[in-house]
Amino acid sequence: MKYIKYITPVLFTLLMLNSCSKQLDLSPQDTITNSQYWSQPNDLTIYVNQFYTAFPVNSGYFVSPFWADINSDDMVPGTYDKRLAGENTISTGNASWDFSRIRSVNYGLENYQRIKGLFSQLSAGVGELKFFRAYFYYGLVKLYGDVPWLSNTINIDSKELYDGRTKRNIVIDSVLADLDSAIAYLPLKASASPNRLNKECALLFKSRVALYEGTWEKYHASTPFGVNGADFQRYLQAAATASKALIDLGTAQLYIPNDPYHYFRDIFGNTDLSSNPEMLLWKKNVEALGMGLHIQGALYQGGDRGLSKSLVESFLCTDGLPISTSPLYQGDDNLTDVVTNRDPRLSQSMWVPGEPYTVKNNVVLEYFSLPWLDQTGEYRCTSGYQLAKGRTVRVELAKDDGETASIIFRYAEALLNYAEAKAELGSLTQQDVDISINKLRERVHMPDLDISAIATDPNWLYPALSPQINEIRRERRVELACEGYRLDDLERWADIDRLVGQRPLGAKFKQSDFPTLVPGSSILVNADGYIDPYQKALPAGFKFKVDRDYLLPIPQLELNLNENLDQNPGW
Amino acid sequence: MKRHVSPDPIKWIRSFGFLSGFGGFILLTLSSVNLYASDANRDNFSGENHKVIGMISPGAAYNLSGIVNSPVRGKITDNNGNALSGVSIVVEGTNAGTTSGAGGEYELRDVPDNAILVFSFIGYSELKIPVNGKSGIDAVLQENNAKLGEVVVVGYGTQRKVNLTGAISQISGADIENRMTSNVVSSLQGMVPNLNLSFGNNGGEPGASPSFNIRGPGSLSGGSPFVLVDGVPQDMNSINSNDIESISILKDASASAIYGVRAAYGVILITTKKGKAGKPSISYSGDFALQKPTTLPKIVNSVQFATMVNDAFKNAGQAVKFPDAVIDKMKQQMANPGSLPSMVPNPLSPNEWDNNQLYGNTNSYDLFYKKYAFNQNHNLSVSGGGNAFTYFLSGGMYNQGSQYNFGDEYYHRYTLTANLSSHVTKWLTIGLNTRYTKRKYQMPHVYPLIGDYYHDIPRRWPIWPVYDGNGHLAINTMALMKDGGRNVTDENQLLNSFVFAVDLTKNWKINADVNISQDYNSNNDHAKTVYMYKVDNTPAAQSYSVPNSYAVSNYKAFYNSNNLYTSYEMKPGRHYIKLMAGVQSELSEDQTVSISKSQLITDNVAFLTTATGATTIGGSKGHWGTMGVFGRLNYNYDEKYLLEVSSRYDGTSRFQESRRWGLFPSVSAGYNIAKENYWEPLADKISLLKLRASYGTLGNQSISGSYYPYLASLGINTNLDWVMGAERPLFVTAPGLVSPELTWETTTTLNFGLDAAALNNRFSFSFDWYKRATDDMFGPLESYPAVLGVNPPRRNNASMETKGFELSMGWSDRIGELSYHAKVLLSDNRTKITKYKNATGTLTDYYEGQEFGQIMGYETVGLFQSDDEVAKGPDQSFIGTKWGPGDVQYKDLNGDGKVNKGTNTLSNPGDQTVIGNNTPRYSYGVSLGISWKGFDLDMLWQGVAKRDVWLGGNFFFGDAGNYNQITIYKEHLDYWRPDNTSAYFPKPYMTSLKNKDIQVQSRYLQNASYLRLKNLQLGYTLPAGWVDRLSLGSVRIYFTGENLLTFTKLLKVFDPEDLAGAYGPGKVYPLPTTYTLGIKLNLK
Repeated sequence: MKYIKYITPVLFTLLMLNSCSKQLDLSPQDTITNSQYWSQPNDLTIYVNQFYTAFPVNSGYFVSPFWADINSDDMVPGTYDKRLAGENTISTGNASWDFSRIRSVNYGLENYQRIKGLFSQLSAGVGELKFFRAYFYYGLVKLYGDVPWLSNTINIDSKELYDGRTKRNIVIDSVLADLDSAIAYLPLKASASPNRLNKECALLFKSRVALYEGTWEKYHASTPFGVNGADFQRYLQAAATASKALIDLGTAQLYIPNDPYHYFRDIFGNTDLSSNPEMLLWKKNVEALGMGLHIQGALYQGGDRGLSKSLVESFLCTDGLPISTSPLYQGDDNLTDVVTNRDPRLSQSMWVPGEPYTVKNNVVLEYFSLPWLDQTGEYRCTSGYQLAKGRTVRVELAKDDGETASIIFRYAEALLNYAEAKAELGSLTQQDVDISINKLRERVHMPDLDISAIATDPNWLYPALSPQINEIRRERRVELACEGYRLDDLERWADIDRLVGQRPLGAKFKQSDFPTLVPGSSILVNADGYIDPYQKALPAGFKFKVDRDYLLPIPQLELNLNENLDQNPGW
Repeated sequence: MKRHVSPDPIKWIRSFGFLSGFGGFILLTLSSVNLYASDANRDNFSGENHKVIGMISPGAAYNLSGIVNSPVRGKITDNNGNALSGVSIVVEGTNAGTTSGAGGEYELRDVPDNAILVFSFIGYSELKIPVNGKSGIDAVLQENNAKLGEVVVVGYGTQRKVNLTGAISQISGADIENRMTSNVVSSLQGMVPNLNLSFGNNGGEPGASPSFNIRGPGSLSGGSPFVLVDGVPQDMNSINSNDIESISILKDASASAIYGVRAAYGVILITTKKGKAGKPSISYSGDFALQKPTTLPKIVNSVQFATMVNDAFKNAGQAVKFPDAVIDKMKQQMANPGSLPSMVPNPLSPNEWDNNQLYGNTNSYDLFYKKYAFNQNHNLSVSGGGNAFTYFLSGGMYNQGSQYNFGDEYYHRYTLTANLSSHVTKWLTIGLNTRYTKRKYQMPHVYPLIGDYYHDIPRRWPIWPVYDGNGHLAINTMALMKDGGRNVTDENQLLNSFVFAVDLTKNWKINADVNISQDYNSNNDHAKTVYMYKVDNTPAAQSYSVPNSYAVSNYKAFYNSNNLYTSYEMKPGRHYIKLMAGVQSELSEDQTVSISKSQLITDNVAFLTTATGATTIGGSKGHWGTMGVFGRLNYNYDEKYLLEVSSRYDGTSRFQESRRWGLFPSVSAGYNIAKENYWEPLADKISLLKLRASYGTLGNQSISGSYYPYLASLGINTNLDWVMGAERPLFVTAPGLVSPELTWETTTTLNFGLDAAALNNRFSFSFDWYKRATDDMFGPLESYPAVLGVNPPRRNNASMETKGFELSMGWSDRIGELSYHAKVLLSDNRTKITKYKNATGTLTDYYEGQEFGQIMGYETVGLFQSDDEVAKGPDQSFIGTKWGPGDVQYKDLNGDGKVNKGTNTLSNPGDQTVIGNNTPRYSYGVSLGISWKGFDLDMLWQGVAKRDVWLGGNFFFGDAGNYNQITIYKEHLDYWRPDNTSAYFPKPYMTSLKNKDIQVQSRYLQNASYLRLKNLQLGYTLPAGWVDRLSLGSVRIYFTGENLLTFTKLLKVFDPEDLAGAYGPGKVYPLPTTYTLGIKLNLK
């Protein structure tokens, strides 16, 4: 017994030594290391999922493609766009110089081959990866022009870290090559998983990228943003070919709403687009899955924005003539006059008096009467032309909430891309117009465009360009108004030059409708009686610097870290 | 083995039974406590067992053989012959006693012949004199030298304070036990030099505790001090301060080296109270407190608000928000409240209230916070034991009530502690220390689209009426707080320590302990749908509260540490040698599971089972472990030359095998000059004069965010924001970059110290200077070109150096019956980056030579007063456009005619310069106390003498260019306008144009130094005579105030200690000011 006091500590020591041998070899219990992943085809699918959130969609209150044109001449946000005003600074856009998603795509492309299986089981996933690399690079090229091209993941000791930028046309060639792979690998929409990328998307996107690069190189040819040895014809041809291929596939069609009144507005604001032949890719929002949106509530209010006078005036009259020449035009003294005898897309893109405003149990509770000019903040309509496109007409409204689907790619764009590419190539035929522009016009009961008899518009925005291009650009502006395409179009056409020194205007202000508003104080109105929101903020109009602001500056930090990077023109 | 019998287990069981009804124990009447006390006495009196083991306590002897009782008289003097009045004289083991009168004389009746008298007086050593039948006993009390004999708790042992060679501060539990703070850390503020607190984004939220460091930031990755309670790592918040016996703060490498692996940034050792042999001691303390916010901004009225907003819109070239007609109505409403409806329907949408015509005049802070919240704190403890068994049992309850008017939040903390120890054999002592802590918080659910309430409340402008035309709450924040769901956190921790002490020989001891700590925390969060009402009184669900949902998150953790160590002590001649060696292992495991489900069938029955919508499941699981071998040698010669050498060899699971182990040695030495023979003549005056020096290295393994930082893994995520088929699928993301070479951070500390005591220890002094170098630090990620596309790996890539000092000086003395004490603490630390990879000298990264906390910005010339001044000034287009009168003029430091950031590098910083530093410098604490005839008054002042802060944001500027965020307080009205050109603030703008004026700059840099009356206590100890009649041991009643006065130059909107905020500086739960009435009873 007396030895027990010596034995106890010895036992303790042994116990502890025993417990320690393995104690420090601990590996993660809730994450997977690289070597454990990439074993089955589904691993690729799950990996690709992450990239779908890159598309611009409606979410919460404030982000929406339907508001995205506030950075262009189509819309007038409460606070002017700094880029159009020439007020970008060297620090603007730092967060956009981001290659993390490109790295993620490259990581997927480097590793998917480790999966044991037939390529046919992986091809859709590989097609998606290629598509997304193209998508992300196209985004960077639009912002910065030349960008470093990376086809592999790199590490902190890689020499690629310190490479210079790759010329934009070379990057775009790689983007188009990726898209060719995507077109080859992705399944047709009919056989693809719902809400995933398909061949049609890739064709449409290829036409978009090629048209962008083609027109950019063409219209910036003599500017600091031009490309040496530009071969824009090749890109325009690629755009025409890709969009024509999509048209010829025949799997996508324009959607013709059966609402006899809202036959244009009803294309938007729906919750389920799965059987809609026009929507090549869309995002489903399910409230029960925590994806409820407030966009419907936001489209009820003014949203601190409004359509510009310039956009409203670009809509033709129902006789196919512009307002400058059409005898049907009623003037713009009030909203009703503005939309009378006009392309119905106008009255279905903005709120007009008498339009059902709130509907419950199929009973109209409220009709729209006046734009929300005398409100403030997110309630206010800035211009007097209040956005309605995107507001649902089909279902009864729980005003604030909803599951409105986000449209990512719609077929109508392909028709516009095709017509424009052909027109820019100089090979546009009436037949081309009939399978593109005129399809869009037919849907809204507008007369066809006859390219042999285009009526002259003294207010054409591009008098130096052909009537064809003027009318095709008009059609694009009208059809895609407020959907987030306009800034890209202005940039690639070098068209922001046109806006310098100008202020966007709104509707005519009618004091009797808004007795509390005091012109010059609580509402700003110009000498002709039009609402002039930037009268005091931008007395000299937009000061976009045409030799600088078409591209963002490379962040200073990046220039410091890599001396092989050069700054964009003008910065 | 002889069987020992002790009565104590019975007492223990009784005590336990007594405590088991914990929830209601404070309701027990004093009479039942008395009853128990007399029971306990009876147990003691039946002293057969004491006889058996030969442990006859003096008290027992008195009762067993108290034959003759006679009076005793005498006089009490100090060693200079001066009479001492107010000395307490007690018959040991009884409640009988008295105090000496003015001439030092006393008289006690009925004193048993064999009793022992105990003389005690503050500042003097306690004296015990056996009566031995005498009737006259004079006593000479010696001034207290106890401070020199004080024992300090050190790592794996204790040491006499005079023999310390490391930098250690110790405070006693009594110093903090009457503080009405919700956590122990807050109570230490101003008590320990260089223990620095900072309140984070939770501010003064109930149950929140500040973060703290010892001697400044140890690491850029945020190393924090290592806290052990009775040798087991613990969260300081789980401790009831009433259970604390002492707290040791180990600051330098030599003091903490024995904890090598985790002690790089200092160690805090908390020792809890243990039972002592003797009669049971029961004590109860109760506090009742009122709490209010310490600092609240002053809100402007509705007209002032509307006027400034209009000016801001005008300055931005926009239409004004409030037409004159609206402002006239606001004026009318202010002049004659109720003369107008405060809300009207929107003319464009008649069933909606018009947000542009709001005629309230509301102070949202008055509405948001109650005037006072009620807090209470109760503690009951019982301790005692015999030679073979001692116990300490305690229960505590701390309740913090709701400070919100609408939100019914609370924080409750319950603690149960039992420290039991039994001498099983002559050589073996076993003990069980067990502690259970429950902490429960409730707060209103935070709706993500709203942000937090401290962000929201400042934005509930004065124009908002509280109620709409139909009498419903009109402010959504209030409605959400009142009618929204609740978020309840329930944290439970159970710690069991099994302690074994083996005395192999008289000098050779072995200690072993096994510690198991388990946490089980849950959070239940109900997001309830909240309704507000339309003009026609129909309810409308608030969009941000739809859909409703319920979420549960459960966390469990297991922690085990095993220590085995042995010590051997010997005293050959004047030498003293002590050797200690041991091993330790640790294993920690934790797991979280969280589930949330949307669309409850009804908000009245909210749980996962009553929800029909989508389910989200998440979780995490991980573990880590360490192993260590350690040893220490203490040597001294005649307590004059002191030496300590210690070392620890540690391994951790957090690094790969080849980088896993590290050796951390330290050495320290001391020289007590006062022990030299030649000092003898001075010994009267200066009894201690000790020089100390130490040097050593420690390691840190903690990298926040990962237990396996050397391994790369793919991220697995749920609920992609994209529906595929019918569900939101999983998605997996690419692994980040890791550095497999990752290993320990090491700190090396050099410390010099001087301790002195003089004038009979009335004066004490301690000073330390130190330099701590942190090498191989887990620095911030290095900057690489963005084409890398991923964060670079964490690496041991930086070094920094902290230098500082600590000074403490105390004086305590007595004038007649008035005793007083004063203590002054002063500390400082400065940190410099000594190594960091930043070849380009980019200013957004750390760089070598940079002082930690530096604030870089522009220097301000002033506000432009005319367009002419703008034209003559430098080109400021880099910063913004449209410069005019009322905008800020920055200084063109480099004279190039432009104000900009150059390339934002060291070699070309443009016009930026270092304008300040936000490190708190020269932290000080001053405590003062006096006591007189049972009254005591104590004060603690605490402050920081130097600190700059850049605050910015809406709280500072009032507006930062966004209408939704505007926050106007009285101070903000001093903005530039043509009729107020000498304004402090620049002109307001309602767009991002504002950014140009609110750049980080010298004009708006704030001085955050402050002085605060942290604590004031006024107490009265009832005279022994009164207490006797109530059969109590002692009774003290007291008033305590916390955060009573603040002096600062900061803009009055801010609290200098509460500057954080998830949504910007100052948007944070205010720190509390509390007024407490308390009582403390001891039953003996």
